[in-house]
Amino acid sequence: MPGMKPKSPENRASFRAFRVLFRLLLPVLAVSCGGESAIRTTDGEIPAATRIESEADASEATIRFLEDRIRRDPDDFISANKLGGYYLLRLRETGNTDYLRLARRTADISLRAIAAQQNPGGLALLAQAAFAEHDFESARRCAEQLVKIDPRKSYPYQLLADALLELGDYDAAAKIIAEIERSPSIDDGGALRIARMAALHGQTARAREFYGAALALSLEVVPPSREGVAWRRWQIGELEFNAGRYDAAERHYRDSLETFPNYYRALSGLGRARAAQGDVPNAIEFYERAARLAPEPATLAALGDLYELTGRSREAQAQFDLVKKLGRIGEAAGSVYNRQLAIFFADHDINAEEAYELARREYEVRRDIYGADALAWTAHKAGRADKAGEAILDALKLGTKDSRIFYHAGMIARAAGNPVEAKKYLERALALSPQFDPRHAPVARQALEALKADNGM
Amino acid sequence: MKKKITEQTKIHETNRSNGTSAVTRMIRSLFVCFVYFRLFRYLSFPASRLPAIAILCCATLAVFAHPLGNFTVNHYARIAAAPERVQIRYVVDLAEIPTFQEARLADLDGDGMLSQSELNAYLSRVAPDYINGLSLKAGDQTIALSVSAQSITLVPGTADLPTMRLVFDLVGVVGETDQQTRFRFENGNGRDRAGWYELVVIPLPGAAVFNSTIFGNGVTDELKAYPEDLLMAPLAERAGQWHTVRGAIPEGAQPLKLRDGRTVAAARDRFAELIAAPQLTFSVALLGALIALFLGAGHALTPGHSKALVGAYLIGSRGTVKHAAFLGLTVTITHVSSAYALSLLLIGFSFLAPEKIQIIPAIISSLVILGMGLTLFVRRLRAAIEGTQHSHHDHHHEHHHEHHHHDHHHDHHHDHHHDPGHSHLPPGAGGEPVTWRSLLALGVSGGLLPCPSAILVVLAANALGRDLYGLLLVSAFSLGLAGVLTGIGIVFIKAGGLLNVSSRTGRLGLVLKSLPVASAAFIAGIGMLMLYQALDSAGVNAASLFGEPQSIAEGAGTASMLSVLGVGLVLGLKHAVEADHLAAVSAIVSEGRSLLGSSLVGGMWGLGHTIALLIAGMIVILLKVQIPERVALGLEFCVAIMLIGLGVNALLKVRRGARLHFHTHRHGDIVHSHPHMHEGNEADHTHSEKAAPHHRVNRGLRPLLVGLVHGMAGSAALMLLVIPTIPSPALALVYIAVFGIGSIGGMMAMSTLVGLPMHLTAQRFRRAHIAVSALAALFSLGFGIFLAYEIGFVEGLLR
Repeated sequence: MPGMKPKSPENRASFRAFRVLFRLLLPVLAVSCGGESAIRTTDGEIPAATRIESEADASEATIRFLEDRIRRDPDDFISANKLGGYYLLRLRETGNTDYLRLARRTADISLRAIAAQQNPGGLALLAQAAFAEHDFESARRCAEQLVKIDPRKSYPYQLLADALLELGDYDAAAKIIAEIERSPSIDDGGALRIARMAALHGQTARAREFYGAALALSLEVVPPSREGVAWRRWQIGELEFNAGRYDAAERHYRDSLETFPNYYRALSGLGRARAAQGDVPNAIEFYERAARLAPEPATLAALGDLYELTGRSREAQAQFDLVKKLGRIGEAAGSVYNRQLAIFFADHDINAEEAYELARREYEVRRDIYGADALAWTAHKAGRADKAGEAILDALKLGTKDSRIFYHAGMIARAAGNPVEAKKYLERALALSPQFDPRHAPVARQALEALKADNGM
Repeated sequence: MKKKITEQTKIHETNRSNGTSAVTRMIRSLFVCFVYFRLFRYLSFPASRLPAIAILCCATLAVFAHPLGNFTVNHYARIAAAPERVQIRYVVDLAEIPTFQEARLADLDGDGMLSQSELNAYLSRVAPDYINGLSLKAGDQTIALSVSAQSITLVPGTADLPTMRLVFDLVGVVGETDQQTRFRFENGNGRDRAGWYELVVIPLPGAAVFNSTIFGNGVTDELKAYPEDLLMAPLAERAGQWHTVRGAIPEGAQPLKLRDGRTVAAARDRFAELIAAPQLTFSVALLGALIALFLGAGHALTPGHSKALVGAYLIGSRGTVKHAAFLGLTVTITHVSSAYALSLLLIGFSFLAPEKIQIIPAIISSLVILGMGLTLFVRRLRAAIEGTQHSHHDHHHEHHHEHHHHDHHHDHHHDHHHDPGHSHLPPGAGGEPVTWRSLLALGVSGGLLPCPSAILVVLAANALGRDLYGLLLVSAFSLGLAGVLTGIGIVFIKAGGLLNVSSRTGRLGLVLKSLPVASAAFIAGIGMLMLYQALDSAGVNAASLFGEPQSIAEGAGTASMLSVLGVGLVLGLKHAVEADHLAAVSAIVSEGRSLLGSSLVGGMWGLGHTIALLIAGMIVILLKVQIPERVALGLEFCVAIMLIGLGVNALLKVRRGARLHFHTHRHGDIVHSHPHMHEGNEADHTHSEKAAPHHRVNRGLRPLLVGLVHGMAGSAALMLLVIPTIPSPALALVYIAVFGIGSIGGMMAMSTLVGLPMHLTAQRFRRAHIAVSALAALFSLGFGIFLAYEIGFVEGLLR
């Protein structure tokens, strides 16, 4: 049988290598001892936040040590796989894409030393690097190859599911996730994928339950990964925010920040939550901190919106300019920011044609629901009602509970002369999350009032 | 630690005469190639500088690929330590996005552009925060860091976005200290930003570093070049500690290590150790001087001294042992006085960093090289053209070439004296003569840049109260240094004598003829690069020199003293080439003089200009008066009138049929010819000793007067605008002087350039020459009228 060759020493070493890698460095994929029982015990109950001491000093030395190892012996694929894991961790911690370049190069070194067939750790590293680079097609291919090499492990399926979800191949992803769910013990990584799928399908309670389980599992790892725990808390915060539970969202964001001080995702989330609760000055502070740490287009655009709301139009314009510059830098570097840039343009009623073009080009290669939403929204702003109507149906197809999508659907239906549909979607958007966006929630409300007024007449 | 700005150049002047065979020429050209090769090595430009030079030369924007994503803020600190003193170079490099974010804060007038003054204002605003973020401790004592220089520049990055670079030079002085000090440094800046954090520690001269947790070398060349292909996560070196000691490190201590694990070779400064002899007796002093002599000789043999150039110069020219001795003496005296001058500056201004102060001699010697290169270039180009012309046609009957030993050329010995100080040495067969002037220039540029150890000895001698002994040591050291240079010179003279056999011209000869021209251009190029380096290390951003001169000056006002002076020099250079100055000088030059005369005109103009500026500056600074606008306008109007006068004068000369003629004269076997014009007819023109004065009439006086008028006039306003931003009156006067030196140099170069077409056309085509002269005269006239109109009516002086 293929895959049942007698194990050579290298083979064994490589297995050990990836086991070490995934146990210690990639808590997303950390193997759980508790399995099924752990899932059940949490019951959606979220463990309280604790400060996890920075492992930065330790891993700094480790990174230098491993870099030095590989410099001396480029065939040391075990060190390369380890190092790549560290680089990816740093990437998640800081958002600094330089680590991505390093991770990609490390994966190349590892796979050059030992071919993928005997080096699933290296292949997994490559898959994750490609994923982080938004090269989802390569990530999918690597994951499929991994599934063939290591069919008994769960992590290849998890990586494959990730790539499929981003590519918008929901049927294939659903099959794999169902497979994961059927397995006797669900690990942390598995729970995350189930939660993700549930969130996409609008099953908020189920998503909350599985995210909670994943968090509990990640806390069981010794020592827990700061970034891993903080990311899960932030993810739960996002879920609560989308459900309109702003105080709960804020609590989770704060827990995330407690776990990992200066975590840019948590800061940005706190800005969002404070703004939704009407505390704009505080929201601005959080956004400003986040924008300093990792100037993501969405963060900058949100900050600009809040500046504008408080009459600081010059500062707002500076943020918007920066988003545009980021778009240009992204283009120069082969672009990962197209979608965010397209939505930014559409949100602010500028460069409608360019925005539509950006969204359309991306949707050609990546057909996920958020891509469909971006396409619909930019098409709407560019005055292409038919295209918008078509695309928004794609965005709505999973039943995702996201106010922004509903808002877009409502505005598109209204423009298409369908007030009943429009009213339905806008009501849904505002019922789900009344303050989903400081700039657009009022617009949605106004549009709804207008629709009601028309109806009344 | 100190950038090497070296290699005072003088390449030998190949003779184009009868004397040499093809083979010996080839040997010589190989030698020249060898010398160039050595030069290139000695110049040792850091590779990272090349993009900057590219910006300078072609004004193309080299895109600076930021390795760390686009939102990092990167920090670098290089700590030079001795037990009693620490100097830190601290560099902060902001990638595109932080630069964009900060630009919002820096752009005070909100026009979306950052002027140099806005940048400087921003720098002074953020500097205290950055400095406070650094902590330096000696033992338990916190050492205050004071800024000796700071600068801010924008560097082009990706997607047409700039990146920002802040450079601080900091000094920390340890109060009470033992022989040995334990330091701890921490960079607490930028906690909320991702970035590269790099630390380097090196010993100051005479000190040693040991037990250091910081490496002895960097990775990024002060954040200018990040390792792109290395597998290396951004460095995170924020803190470290080390020990320093004077002299050798203690037994069993861990010496300073480089990043590749090697130990930094303990570089002992034996010369500097001499001064600290425990007991000073006569015999110790004598021994010390003897050792210093040998050390100086040894030092001369290390790369970076002009021995190759000395040799090259002397072998190409016809030098004698006497010349070599003169050269040695010049080097010695210059070296000693330069070392003392810089040391006195250091004692007087304790905030100056030694490596900074060395920029002044570096700039001067680079200017000397530049000047020599240009002069040689012009002379050799002329020689080459004459030579070529001659070998093809023989139509130039006034022109007597040395190949023809007919004796119908007229000899005018009076021309020997047309340049004070231009006394030709008794020449031999073949070879360009050695001139005292170029020997002096060579010697001065060879000795101008003192070795750091010499400065160290002077400083230590001062501190120990052993001034005389220090002088003895430095003199002995310089003598040793000069002795080696002289010795090499003598060797080359002897060798040159052997090579100097007769030859014929041929195809190879043509190639060899063009070689000296190229070599002179090369020397000039090196001078320019040295100047660039010197200015660059003075903190003058060469790229920004293309911007508004005023804003540079404005910006410099808040920057360090040295960059102020550097800017002054460059502004002076630029100032010289302004249209009204060029108009006047070219009108004078057009009246037909030798090239040397042309550059002299430029020099005299610059001198007059500087004198006037100094007088005006003193009045403004010391008496604290403002020049009324009307007076300034009136002075400018004088300039216009003067331009018209000069133009008319030159035109009249051309119209009156002023004739161009050549004096061919000889120095032994060498025959030169100089063209010039006379008013009147040939018959009146008798070349007798009596008639000589008409060739010298106001050679210096007129350009001096013109320069004075220019200096007094409104163009001085540029400089006076700058002065109020300079803190102390003394510094302001120094600034004016430096500005003047720059304008002298700039105008000399320009007038030589202007003179070149005159000179070349004069020799070949009389008509063309008259046309060129008339053109220059018309330019002066036209510009004068334009200026008069502008000032008189547009500005309203006459209304």
